[in-house]
Amino acid sequence: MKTKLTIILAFVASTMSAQMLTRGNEKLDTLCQTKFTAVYQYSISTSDAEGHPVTDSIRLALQVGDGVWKTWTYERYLFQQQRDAEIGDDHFWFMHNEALMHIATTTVGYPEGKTISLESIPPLQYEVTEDTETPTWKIVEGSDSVCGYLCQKASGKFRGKTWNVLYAEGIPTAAGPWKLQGLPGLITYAADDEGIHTFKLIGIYQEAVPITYSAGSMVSKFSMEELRMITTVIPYETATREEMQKQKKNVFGNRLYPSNPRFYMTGSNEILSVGQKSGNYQFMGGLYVPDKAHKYQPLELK
Amino acid sequence: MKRSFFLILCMAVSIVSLAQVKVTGRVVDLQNKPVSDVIVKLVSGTKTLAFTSTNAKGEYALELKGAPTGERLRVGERSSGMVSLQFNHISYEKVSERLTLKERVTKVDMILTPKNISLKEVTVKPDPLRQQGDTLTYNLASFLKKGDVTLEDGLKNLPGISISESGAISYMGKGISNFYIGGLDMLGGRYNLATKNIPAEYATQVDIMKHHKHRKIDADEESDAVAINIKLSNKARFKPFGQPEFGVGARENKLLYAGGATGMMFTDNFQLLASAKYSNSGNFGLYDMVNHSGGDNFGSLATDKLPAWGQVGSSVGESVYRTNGYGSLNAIQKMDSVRLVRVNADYTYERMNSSASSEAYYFAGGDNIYIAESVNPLAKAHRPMFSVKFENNASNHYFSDIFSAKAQFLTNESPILTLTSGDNDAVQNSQHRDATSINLHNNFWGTIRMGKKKLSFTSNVDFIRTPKVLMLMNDISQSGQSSQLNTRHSTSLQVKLGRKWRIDMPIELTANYNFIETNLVKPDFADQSQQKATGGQAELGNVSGWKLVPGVNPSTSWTSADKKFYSSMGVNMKMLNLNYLSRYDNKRTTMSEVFVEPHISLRYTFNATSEMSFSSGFSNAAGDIMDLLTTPVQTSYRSTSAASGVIGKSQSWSTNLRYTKQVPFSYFTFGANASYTQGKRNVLSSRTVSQTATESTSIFRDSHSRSASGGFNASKNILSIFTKLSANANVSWGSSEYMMQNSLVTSYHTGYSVRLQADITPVPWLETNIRGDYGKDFLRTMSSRQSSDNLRCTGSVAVFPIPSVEIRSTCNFMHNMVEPGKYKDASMLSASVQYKAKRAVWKLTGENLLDVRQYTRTSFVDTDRFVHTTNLVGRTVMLTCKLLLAGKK
Repeated sequence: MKTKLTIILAFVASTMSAQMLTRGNEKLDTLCQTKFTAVYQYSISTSDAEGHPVTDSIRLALQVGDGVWKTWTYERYLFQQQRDAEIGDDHFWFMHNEALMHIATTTVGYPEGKTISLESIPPLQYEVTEDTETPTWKIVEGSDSVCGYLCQKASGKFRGKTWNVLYAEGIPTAAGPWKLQGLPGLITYAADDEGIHTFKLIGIYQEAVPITYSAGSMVSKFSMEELRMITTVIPYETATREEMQKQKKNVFGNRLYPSNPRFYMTGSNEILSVGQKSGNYQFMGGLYVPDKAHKYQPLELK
Repeated sequence: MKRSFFLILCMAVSIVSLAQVKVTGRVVDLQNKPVSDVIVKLVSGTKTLAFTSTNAKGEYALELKGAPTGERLRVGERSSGMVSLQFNHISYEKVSERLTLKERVTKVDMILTPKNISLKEVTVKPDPLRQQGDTLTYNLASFLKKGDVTLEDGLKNLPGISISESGAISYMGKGISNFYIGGLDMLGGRYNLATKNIPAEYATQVDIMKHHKHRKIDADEESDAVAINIKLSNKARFKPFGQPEFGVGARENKLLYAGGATGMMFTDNFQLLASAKYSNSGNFGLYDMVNHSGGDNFGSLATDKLPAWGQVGSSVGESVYRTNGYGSLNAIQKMDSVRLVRVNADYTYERMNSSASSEAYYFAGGDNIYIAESVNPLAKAHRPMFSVKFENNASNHYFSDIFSAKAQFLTNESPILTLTSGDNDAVQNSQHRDATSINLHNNFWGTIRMGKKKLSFTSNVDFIRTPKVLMLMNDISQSGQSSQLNTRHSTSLQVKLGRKWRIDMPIELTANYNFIETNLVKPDFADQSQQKATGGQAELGNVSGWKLVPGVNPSTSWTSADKKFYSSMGVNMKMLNLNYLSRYDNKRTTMSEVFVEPHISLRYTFNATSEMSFSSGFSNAAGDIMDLLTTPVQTSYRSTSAASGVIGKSQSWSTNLRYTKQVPFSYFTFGANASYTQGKRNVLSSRTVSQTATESTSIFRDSHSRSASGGFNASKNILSIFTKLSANANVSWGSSEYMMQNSLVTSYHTGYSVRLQADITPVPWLETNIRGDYGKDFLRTMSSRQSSDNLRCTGSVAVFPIPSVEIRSTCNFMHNMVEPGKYKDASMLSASVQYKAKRAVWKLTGENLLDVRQYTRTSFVDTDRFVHTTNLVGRTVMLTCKLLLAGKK
């Protein structure tokens, strides 16, 4: 029997969002210290549930350490750095965009030679481990300036897409946003040749902060016994990259998904509904699920 | 065959192996520990030949295919290309080694010396812009300048937003449809009350919602409306705050005063804004009560027929002495997620006076008729208004009802000193007008969804009564009264056919009852027999009757599967039934006629940033009761007008084309538009001017008109230097026909205008604004060809010696044509000093510091030329203080 427990919590802003942002009894492994953190504006040109063209946008933080770099949502990075004030009043909008844009946390070089991605298909979060693969880069004529850094142009193929990028030799690292890496300088701008995905550098902080890895996803629940919110850590599901690709294609690529992002859910699902002025935000398994989604635009085609 | 294949394969392998060079090695630090992530690059000149990075063991391997300088590199051969092997790491000193690649495999180990490389840090600013679907969310703080005080000041800085002098907000040239605060539309069209009274720092976010649909039930419909939603900071939410304001000053040896207060409270479900201001200074709260949805200054048949005399305007400086005041109470209560109640109650008072002299050259076939006048108009207006709105806005149903009651009490005087050619004696003419009108209005709109069908019903009832308009012009008395009961009811069934097609079948019934009476009494009335016939009243007009217009407007729309292309077309069919009775001559006029009006609109969305729209339609208008009021009415001491007695019919065909492009993250917007209208009317306006009188009427003869216009607007923000650049250009062309001095005249008008504007903040303590407007107009008739042009430049500089103090100076320069080949210049200077404390904003303003008292310009109205010399308001000094009172949360 399908049962749903819906908990309406109205006008609870800071405490609720703190739990959604997974700070508290989360167990974090420190992988290494950063040399610097780069911040990117990541945009996807897609269409909404009615088919109207839209552009979604979010900021990503790329934490670069020795041999390890991690790309995740900038607001989550700020939250971990306890820079809550910079997130702003509205804690929920970026979770909405995270869900619309299917933002994964990608850690390249952990373990050595591997890349781990934390992908989400609500209500579950998956840990996907793969061999680190470097795009086949070709340096091309031309240069430009991004954030005051002189950048060289390059082009490369990566899993079915051709990426046109700029990299800054003045920042000597092979790192780049998401899984784009392997150039003799930080990738400061990247766009696929279809103009769907764009990463643009908007900030750099030279800082030494830990690059962390969480052993599981945080899930907030309302305890009927204790009559309060409790947060538990649930281990990630594991999947291969191929399995994940297939599953995301089946779910997010389904034609029903934009108008009903829960079309694939069956059985018992516990929904946490957080009332905010801008609407109700619903979470399943600690993951935000929008009422309406946008057309899925995969970053990897192969 | 196999042997040949083997030979070819061997040769290929041999060539490849000959061309490949490998460089390997290990990188360690001074402690001989491996260094990972070192960028290793093989460079020839400035060209990167190959690159890689070291692994966790510090090892690297570079493979080079081909010679470094374009030559083939063979192992064992001497290469002419010297290459450089570079080792680069963010925590170590950069080193390089020169190599000549003689061997197939070259091994180069390297020891790096620690050195911290300093990166140029780039701070991430609070996201100035977020895009979510059709909504652009601006972080207002990212766009605020130091001197900005009100929400309006902040909104002006946003890309694509422009705000007119009266406070009307438009986005990429299109006026906004709704102004929300926290998702609630409390003020309707009177959003100036918010934009001019909410402190800029209290607004955190501005949402610009394109393709906005206010009604949730219309979520699946097409819309090109734009709306704005303001999100307030926590400082302004859940607690009341207010802004008392006061000011004192002097102008032309008179004391100026200003006082007022605005109180506000915004919670999630309740909002309140109360404001009251009074001033004789002219621009204190002047535009606060402007209703951008229109309808506040309603007109009636009698007030339209007997219009007021206007004030003298000026495009530079201020020409009107104004005393104005208002009280406004606005509240909105959200009862639940779909229902709300809104109440707005206002009282406004305005007193205006101005003065000017003009020289008119009326077209009279050959020699123009010259009349010089000196006018001193005075107007007083009292306008109370009350409205209440209930709305139930759900995704499957919508109901709203708005009831409003308005009144206006107007007094108008306009004494005129007249000098005509050939007459050296000036004549003083007195003019006085009183008018009172009331308006009761109710609007109901209901829609319910039944599966794929949507059923709507609207009902508008409008009652306007003007008990009396009295105009006294010298010893002439002209009075009038009118009553109007206008109703419009419609129902519409909308059916969705699949995902692409939609059919709409609205049926509408308009039923109006109108009555107008005019009475003109002249002492020297020529037609004595008519006086007797009307019992001593000279010219009595009285027309009443009804108009009944049933109509049906079937339309269909189609949207492509990718939603990029939208088209809609339909045919509006209406049957006009008129029955009017002129009681004066007991003449009954009836008409029953069917009109057909096709229309089409298309829209193509190229991508999320640009779209193009096109619309075209044919429209008819007929049956104005005013056409039957053949009795002359006196509208000024020298002007009379009379209708033709023929039911006027007009047809027009209009076409519009519009293109918009915005690149949100480049803060760039661009819009272009073009339109064309062609019309025909069965009557021709006719005017006869003599030295003593101007008579206007219409004659039964077709007249034609055509007009075309086009323009573009663009704006670009450069956030790093707080700069906004904008440009507008427009061109218009038109032709029209009318009868002048019993001759048919066709006039052709062409006009160009350009506006360039730049708001630049080159350094944090300096803000500059430069604006230039240039316009040129050409007017051509068969017998004359005239042109005029004008240039206006405005520049302002604001200096901030400390962040809380702003010293601003603004200069206006006008260069206007007075007559062909003769120009007149005018310069105006104003300055202000503003001090922003935590809870108060003090401002000392000096307007018209050069005390320029006159301004002359030329204008054309049809074939007539006017040279206006406007008297300007003198030097004004005013000190105002705005306090911010916020309660504790």
